[in-house]
Amino acid sequence: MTNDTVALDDSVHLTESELLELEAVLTGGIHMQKNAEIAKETVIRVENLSAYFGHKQVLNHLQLEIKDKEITALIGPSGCGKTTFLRTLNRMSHTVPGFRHEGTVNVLGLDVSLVRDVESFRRAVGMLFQRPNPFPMSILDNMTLALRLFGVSKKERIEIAKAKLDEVGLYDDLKDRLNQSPFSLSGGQQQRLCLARALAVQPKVLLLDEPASALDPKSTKLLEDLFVRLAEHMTIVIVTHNLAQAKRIAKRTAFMEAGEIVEYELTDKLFYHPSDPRTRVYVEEQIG
Amino acid sequence: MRSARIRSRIFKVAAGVSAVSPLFVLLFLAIVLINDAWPAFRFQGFSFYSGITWNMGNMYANNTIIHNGVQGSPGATFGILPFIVGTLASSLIAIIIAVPISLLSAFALVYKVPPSLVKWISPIVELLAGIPSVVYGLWGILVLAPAIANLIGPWLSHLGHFIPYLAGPVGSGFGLLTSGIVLAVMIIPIITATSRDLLMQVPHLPIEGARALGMTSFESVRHVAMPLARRGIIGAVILGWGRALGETMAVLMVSGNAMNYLPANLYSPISTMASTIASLLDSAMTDYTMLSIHALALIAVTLLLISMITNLFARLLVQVGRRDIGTEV
Repeated sequence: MTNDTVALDDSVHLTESELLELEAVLTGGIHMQKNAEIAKETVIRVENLSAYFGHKQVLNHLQLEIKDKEITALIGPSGCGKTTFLRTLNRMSHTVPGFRHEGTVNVLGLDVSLVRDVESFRRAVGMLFQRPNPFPMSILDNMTLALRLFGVSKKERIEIAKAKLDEVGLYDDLKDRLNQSPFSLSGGQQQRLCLARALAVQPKVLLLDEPASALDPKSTKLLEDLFVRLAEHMTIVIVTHNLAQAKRIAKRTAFMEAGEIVEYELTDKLFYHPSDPRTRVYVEEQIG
Repeated sequence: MRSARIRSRIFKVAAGVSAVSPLFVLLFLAIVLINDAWPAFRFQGFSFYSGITWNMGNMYANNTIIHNGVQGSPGATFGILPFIVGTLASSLIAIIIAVPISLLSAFALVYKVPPSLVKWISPIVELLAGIPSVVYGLWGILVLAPAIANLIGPWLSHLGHFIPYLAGPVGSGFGLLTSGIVLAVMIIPIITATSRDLLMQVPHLPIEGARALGMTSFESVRHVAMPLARRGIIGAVILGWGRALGETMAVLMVSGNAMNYLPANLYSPISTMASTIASLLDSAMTDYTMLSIHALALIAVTLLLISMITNLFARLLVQVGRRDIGTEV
């Protein structure tokens, strides 16, 4: 329950539902906690998901529920299908020729295979990639391009841009160079710019594909703090190779291997009391 | 050891020679052409570029005239403004038609068409780029010119009430519009193939970022991939334009070979600089004062200059575009 005690120290930031949950944990013990968990809204529900690239099966009967306002981590060896799974959640996998899937993936109440308005759907499910991917235009344009295409007025979109840059802690550093190229920024700044850009379209779910794998420890820490703060009002799913990172920020963690979810548990339990021997072997090998 | 050193030396020298050879080829061309063209310029002066009358003079007369120290046939006067206008107008029409089609097909080939089909279509694009121009010219004569004379021209001329140069007699179908379309068909594969290769090299991550933000595939290519490939795509367009400026045979076959006459509308017969050099060379050879040959060489110099200027101009455009990357504010 380390996560919960940490949250207690930081109680100023707790939202109502988290307070309720906390109360449940403190007063009613594990049984009550379970009830509180059920009370939390499920944002992503995956049932029996199998996915293929051509004839190659990459995901095998995944079963998973991801709750609102939590960070959920996906860990596992390279090539285990974590990224494919993550990209299925916002239909990015579907853009790859030869991709198909079976089973249902329900995100924000929508079945992803039935989504007609993919663009609006993707606005609601933001994504941050392995490496920063700023657009070849000014910092401000990076922030406002999508809003401009969605028809947000100029005044409004510039306001949103500034607010979101502020939210990721970039505005003070960049306010005098908003018209310059983003490629002169450091990797960490670029990644935070991309995060701000993703936040600008007001997503409800944020998918992070190893967002800090190309960054130095300080930038990584900055991003992790941001994710924890963002999780207060949105659902975050993070794919990471860095188990310490999963431990630091994720409420729950799923361990995947060879296209299957081996174990999906509260993070602490998964790391300290894994029930599956495969999880134990992986965690021990990785942490050493 | 020693043979390796010698081989490395040979490689160095060969690489050095190859590296500077374009410069030398250009210099050699320019020197030979200018040297050959100079008498014509002395004879005619700047009216070479403003005059609309091209007359090689009476080549059978035995009383040659001398003007500014240059010998010529009596009555000789050389004005190439119609050829310049014909060249620029036909290549402009070609570019206007070809660029949107080429960019859209490059976009489709890279982002839309399934790879199994691209495998078949892509080589065909390259094949089209390699078809000899005389074949396109023949298509122009047999298919396009009649179609313009009987079908497209009459239809377009109805719009002539609103849009200048569209009205007027459609004529035989041999002229500016036909030349422009034939040129467009010829340069579409060039621009398509080049910009397709460029788009394929655009890093995938920013485009994925754009898609993940909820942009359509067209929006993400238009706003994210195109700017990344813009320099190269402008280069591809210049390449196509250069081909259109210099194309000789196909234009010669469908242009109507107008002389001493500026095009009045879209269907007017024209001549381009390149096609004029080709069509008049034979008769110019009979000019024993050689002045006509010099005049043709001066056309060639001018064509070279125009190609270089359009090239430089386009490069400048790209530079300006790069300096100012912000569109908001």
